[in-house]
Amino acid sequence: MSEAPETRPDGRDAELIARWRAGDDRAATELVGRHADALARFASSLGERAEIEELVQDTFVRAFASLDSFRGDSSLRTWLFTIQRRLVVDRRRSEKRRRNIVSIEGHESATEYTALDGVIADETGQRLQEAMGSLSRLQREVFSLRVGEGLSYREIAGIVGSTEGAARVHYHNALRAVKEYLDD
Amino acid sequence: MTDCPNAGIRDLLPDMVHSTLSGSDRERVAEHLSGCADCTAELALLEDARRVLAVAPSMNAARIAGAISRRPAVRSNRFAVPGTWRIAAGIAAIVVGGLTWSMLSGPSTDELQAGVEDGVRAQTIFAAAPGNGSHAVSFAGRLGMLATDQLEALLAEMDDMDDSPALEPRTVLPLLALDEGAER
Repeated sequence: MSEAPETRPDGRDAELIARWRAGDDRAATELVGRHADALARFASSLGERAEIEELVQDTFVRAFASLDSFRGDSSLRTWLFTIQRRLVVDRRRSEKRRRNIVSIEGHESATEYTALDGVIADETGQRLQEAMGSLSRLQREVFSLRVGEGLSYREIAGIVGSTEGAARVHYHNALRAVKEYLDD
Repeated sequence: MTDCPNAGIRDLLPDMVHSTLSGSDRERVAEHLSGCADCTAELALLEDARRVLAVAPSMNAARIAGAISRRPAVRSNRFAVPGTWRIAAGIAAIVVGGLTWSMLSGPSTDELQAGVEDGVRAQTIFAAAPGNGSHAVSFAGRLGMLATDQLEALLAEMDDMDDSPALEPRTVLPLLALDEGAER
């Protein structure tokens, strides 16, 4: 299975990191530009709606502060997804009482959709969005990383803290659930 | 919507969506799709899903990059300032308290005798962490028994501690137990 170009260990990312470490602040801007939109997509797919740019910014701040710990075993983007996922979990823990999320022992479905929902005008897209919103959080994460970002099961497993086999199972379970929702 | 029994091909469909398949895999999948309605429908579903998942607010890379600081990450260190100052303040409080008590009550003959008979039981407050060199502050078990020159030596040690490299406590008096909620 091939890896998405942006998620393969990238020579350009490594070059930019080296330039930033040498004092070139423009390298940071370029690195942000290369990965910020993907992080925003991932955040949206997780059901985050409010302050996405702040979340993405926090992800980069954390990443650059701990760049010494990035060994390059995975791609920079995969590492960024991992950091952001942890931030989302932390954010939800602290905001759980305020947000309108139904939580049933680890099965969390995002029931709050806001301005982004109106962007998808066609009925198929809206139904798909509802279908993906009905998935468990882990299924939604795996499905969005596999379908939305084209990551391999190995990369997804690293991000969500699972195994490659489990990531494959989560993906196919999610896909089945989406199909069943659309068939209803 | 039914599922094709060919799991291997179905696993490659997200990569087909992202155009990341190798030449031979792409041909194999394309050949399968030409005769499989289930996989053709699933591919269309995944393409729609990717479109929906791509909906996210656009990020301002320059603004995000502006938040990235070059300040190195602060590592947890119980004896970094102001922790060192806190230790010194604690010791000073003990010394002052001991002196005050001894001035008010005066050492009894028994205490004097006990101090001589027991000898000096040095209580090590700090032990240098491996690799940090040796630097210890010691004082006799009974503060009130310290002579002026001994107190001066203790305070001089405390002054030297401010310039010492980071230490990790091996044995800390309960009174001086520090818990700064260090970052993990």
